[in-house]
Amino acid sequence: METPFFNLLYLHAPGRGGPDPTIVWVSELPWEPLQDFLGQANRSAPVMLGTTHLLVQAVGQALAIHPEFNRRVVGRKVHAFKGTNVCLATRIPGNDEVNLVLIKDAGQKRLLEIAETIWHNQLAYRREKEPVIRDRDRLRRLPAWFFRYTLRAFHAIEHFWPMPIFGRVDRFRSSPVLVNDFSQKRFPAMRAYKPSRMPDESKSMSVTLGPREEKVIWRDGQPQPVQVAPLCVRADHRVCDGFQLSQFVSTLIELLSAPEKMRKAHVVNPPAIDAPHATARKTA
Amino acid sequence: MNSRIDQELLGFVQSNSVTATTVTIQTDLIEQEVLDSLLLMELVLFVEQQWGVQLIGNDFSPSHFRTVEQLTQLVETRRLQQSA
Repeated sequence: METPFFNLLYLHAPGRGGPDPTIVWVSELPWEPLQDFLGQANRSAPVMLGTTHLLVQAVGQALAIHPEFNRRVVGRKVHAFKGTNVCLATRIPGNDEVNLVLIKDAGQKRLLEIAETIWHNQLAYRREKEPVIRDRDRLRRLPAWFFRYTLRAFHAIEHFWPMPIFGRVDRFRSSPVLVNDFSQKRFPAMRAYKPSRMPDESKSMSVTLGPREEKVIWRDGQPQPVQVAPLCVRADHRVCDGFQLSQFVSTLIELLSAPEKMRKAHVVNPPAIDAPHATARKTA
Repeated sequence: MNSRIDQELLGFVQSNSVTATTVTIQTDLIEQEVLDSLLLMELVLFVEQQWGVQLIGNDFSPSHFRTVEQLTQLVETRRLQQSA
């Protein structure tokens, strides 16, 4: 896939990071179809299904439909990921860490598989049985100066070459997207949400679903209350442009507005490109 | 049905729920949107700490968490299994 000239302007801009290449698109998601689907699915599903699981599945499928987003920047080059991997940020009660869950090939997985993976990880994190917790604790015990210089060396080398995945802590780099679900009633109203880029620049985009709100719309000449949830997508201008981002957001809304169709469409043109990092293929 | 377990579970759900819904042991926690993913994890931890019951992946079924009554049954079943 050739990187468009417009993106090259950002990619080859002076300075290490260049100008801020962030684009944010905030849209609204109709809530009723999602709620109806989950209400019905949870009557017979063997595992509890929630908006998080649907969101992860939709993002995975949207990545498969729009492979231009399934890429990341390493130095001045754009590299494509092999699978439609999605990274989910979770928080466990009584634990102050943000725990990341990697859902491999989320675009090809069934909703139940995604839900099982996430619940399993949540439990493992909580019981501190997830091996990544041990790795994280070992890294935390390193002297601060050593950790800092190791990280700097890593980023400096990765500025020129895609680095292989180092162990379990590092495996989260094998996804281009970080998903946040803040759709529960406990969160305050959201107008926009733009998380920063990860320091290693592995996440070229983030997708955040905010809490639903009631809104009055004009339908058939009558005011009518509807529920909508904000959907905020941050993307990297070095791998996409505003038009492409609008298409991605439209696809996400389309998928989440008719979740029953996602079950049938779980195999959708996976990008036939190489693995990330160690086997990442240069596309620009 | 163990009334001590269901009362403790009910108290926990009532004090940790963020919705205005009045919760009883037969309230549908899923339909009424009382149960979100954070409360579910809090409930799992509460059950594990309070009664020493270890819930497994298969226990994360809507049929076990739909009402306080059903969750009480799950806790009792797991307690019996683990003490046997």
